[in-house]
Amino acid sequence: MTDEDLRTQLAKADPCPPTQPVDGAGSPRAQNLLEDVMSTPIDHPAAEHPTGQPSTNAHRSRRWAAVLAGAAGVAVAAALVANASLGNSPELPPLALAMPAADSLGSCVVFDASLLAAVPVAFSGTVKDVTDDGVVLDVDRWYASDAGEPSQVELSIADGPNSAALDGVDFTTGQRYLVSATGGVVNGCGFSGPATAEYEAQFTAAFAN
Amino acid sequence: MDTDPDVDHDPGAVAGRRERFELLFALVYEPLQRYVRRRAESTLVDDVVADTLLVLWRRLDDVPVANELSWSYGVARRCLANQRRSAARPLQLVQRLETDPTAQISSHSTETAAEVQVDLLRAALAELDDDDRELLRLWAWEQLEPREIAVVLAVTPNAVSIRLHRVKQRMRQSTQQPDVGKNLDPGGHKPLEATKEER
Repeated sequence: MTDEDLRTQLAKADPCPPTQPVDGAGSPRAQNLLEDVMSTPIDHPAAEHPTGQPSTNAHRSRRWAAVLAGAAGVAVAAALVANASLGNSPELPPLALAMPAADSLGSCVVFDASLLAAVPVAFSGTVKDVTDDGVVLDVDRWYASDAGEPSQVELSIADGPNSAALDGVDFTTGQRYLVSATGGVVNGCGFSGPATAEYEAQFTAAFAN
Repeated sequence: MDTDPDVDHDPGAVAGRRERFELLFALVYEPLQRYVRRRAESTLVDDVVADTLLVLWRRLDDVPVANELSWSYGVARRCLANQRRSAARPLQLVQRLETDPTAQISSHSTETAAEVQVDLLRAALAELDDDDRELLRLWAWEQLEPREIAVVLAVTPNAVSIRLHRVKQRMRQSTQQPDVGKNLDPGGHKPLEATKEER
C-alpha cells in the first residue's frame, strides 16, 4: 500500500472531512469572536470568555486566569533572561543528571501541572554541546533545585541505542529546552521538552508561588 | 519589571497588531475548527478554538512566518490537553474510545466492505499511543509534511520522519484484510499456482 493509498484510506475515517462545512472566517459569529479576542488586553488577564458571555464555569475562568497569568510571567521571565547569570552561582560545578534508559519505558502518567510543581529539579536552558557521553546545557532559569543553581547542567546518556533522545525529543545544540528531573533522572513523558511559549507558560504557572 | 511598553499604549502598534491578527485569523480559523473537531467531543470545540485564538493573540509576535498554521495547530493541541486536564479526566483506553470521534466503531449488523475497512482503520488508530495517533492524523487529515508536523509537535523533522515511517508501516499491517476465498476457483479448489506446483 503506497503512502497515497494509506492517506486515501485514512481519509475515510476523518471525522471532519474537507467537504463538511465549518463556520467561515467571515461569518458574523466569527467576526464577533475575532473582536472579542482582540479586545482582550495582552498584558491583563481576561475577565470574560472571549465569546463575550460570562463564563458559566468558574473552573474554566480560573484556568484561563492561570494560563494568562502564566503567559504574563513568561514575559517577565524573558526579560530576566539577559540578567540570569546574576542569579546563578558560577562557582558551583555543573549539576549532573541522567537520561532515562531507552528500555525504561513504563506507562506514562498523564501530564499534570501539580505533578510538575512537585518535582525537585526544573530549569530552562540551551544546549551548548551534544557528545556521545551526553548533553551540556547552559541554564537561563531555575524553577526548582535541590542543589543550588549552577549555570550548567550535564545530562549523561544511559547505555543503550541511540543518541540524546528523550521520548522523541532530540536535544540539539543551540536549541532551548525545559527540563524536570526526579531522583537525579530526567523526567520524560511530557515533563521535559523543547521550550515553546506555551510549555514555558505551563512551567511558570506550575512553579509560581 | 514593567509590562511591554508599546502594546496597548501606542495606537500605531495597536492598529498594526490588529491587522496582523486579522490576517492570521483568516488563515487559521477554519482549519483550527477542523483540527479540533477531529480530536475532541463537540462540546469542547468552541472553547478550545477560542482558547487557541486567545493564545495566538497574546503570542502574536511568536508566531513563525511561513509556519503560522502548523504553529497554531500546536497551540490548539495544548489548549485541548489543558481542557481535558482541567476536567480531571485522565482517559483510559475504553473511555477514549467512547469520546474519541475517530473511535466510533460501526455496530451495524450488516456492513459493506468499505465500512469494514473504516472500522479497521478506526480500531487501528485507537490502538496507537497518543503521540503516534497525533502524528498520523496530522499527516493524513491535516495533510502536513514532516517539517510542518515537527512545528506542531515541537520536535525535529528527523524525529518525525523516523516515527512517521514506523507508524505508517504499522497501520498498513493493522488494516490489511485477509482475502479469504478471493483466489479460489469456483467450488473452492486450490488456486492455479498451487496446482502448477503439484505437477
